[in-house]
Amino acid sequence: MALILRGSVRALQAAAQHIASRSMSSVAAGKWQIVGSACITRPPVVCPPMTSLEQQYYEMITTIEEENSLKSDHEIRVEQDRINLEIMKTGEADELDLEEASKQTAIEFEDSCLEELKSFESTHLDKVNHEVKDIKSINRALERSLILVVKQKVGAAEEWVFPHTPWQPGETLRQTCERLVQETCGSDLKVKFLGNAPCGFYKYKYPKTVRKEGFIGAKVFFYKCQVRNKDGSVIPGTNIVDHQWLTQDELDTRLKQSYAKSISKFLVSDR
Amino acid sequence: METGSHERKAQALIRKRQKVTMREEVAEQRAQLTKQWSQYKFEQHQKEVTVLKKIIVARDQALEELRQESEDLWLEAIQVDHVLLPFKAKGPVATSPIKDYDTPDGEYYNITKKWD
Repeated sequence: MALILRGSVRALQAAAQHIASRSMSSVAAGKWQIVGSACITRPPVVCPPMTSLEQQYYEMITTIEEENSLKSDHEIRVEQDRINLEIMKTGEADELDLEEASKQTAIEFEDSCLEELKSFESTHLDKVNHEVKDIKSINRALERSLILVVKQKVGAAEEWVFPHTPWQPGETLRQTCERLVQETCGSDLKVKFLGNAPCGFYKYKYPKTVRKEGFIGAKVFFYKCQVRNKDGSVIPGTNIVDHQWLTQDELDTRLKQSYAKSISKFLVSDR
Repeated sequence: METGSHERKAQALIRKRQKVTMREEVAEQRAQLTKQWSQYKFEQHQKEVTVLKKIIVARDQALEELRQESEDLWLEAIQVDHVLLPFKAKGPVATSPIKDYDTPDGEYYNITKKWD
């Protein structure tokens, strides 16, 4: 019975869609307001350090590889130099080409290479290991993936959420999210959306005083996107009070519990 | 081509390493480590598969909810995204990049053949 009713309601809706043009709000004004939201992630820039098991395994396979390999040019040079040194000690120097012997030996070459590496490391190490403490910066926590969280007005209060904006008739949900990224983060941040489909949703009811226009509440549809330029910065839009780049564990401290639960369904942890 | 294979055989003889007799403990330890590694990698793979299933379920739920709201938006959401693939991404590097590093040029060796 309920199915038949639903079917007839759908037929009516389809007829209404045929008559009215797509841009009319009657198409999507069901009971819930449709809101598009963007989950903007910055993937990790640097590899995390190896765990102890990974380190042990790595050492083992490198030794096995070395055992099964052939000698390189450098190793043959080292051996030849050792033989030449023996010859020079015993005094049969006439068999040896003195010009070749006065050239740099293989071990000396290896030492000079190691010294060059040390000097490079000492000049550039401090620049490499510079950890950024600013929680608003996109360059913090380079080994983890970061997600953008903003302080936006949700109803009456300001709350920490993923950036969101209500859907406007005449655009697809993905276009809503693309417009959202432009408005919220400015044009400096280049993002790539991962598909046309939303990755998750969150439903919440408006308080009874605000239930005008027939909307009981809002359905927020999340779209996943990745930051493409790692040196891009967020230029906050007009309705953004504050923004932060957070790792997934830090999200739980910032977001509300029910919101965080819907978020965790589609977020991929990097630990 | 024949000279090439002769050269290769000669090189293989010169560059051959001496076989080191392995102690039993070392062989034992290697077998143990290989087993631990295969277990570790299997667990990692299982986690990845679970995460993928979770993501697909979440996406399907979202699509279902969207369909309940608006058939049009649902139809547009299930369209194939032709811009997405081929998907290119630069993976993580071993050390973080040095800002404004002036990369020096390498050495050039001219290997053009000369016929006199």
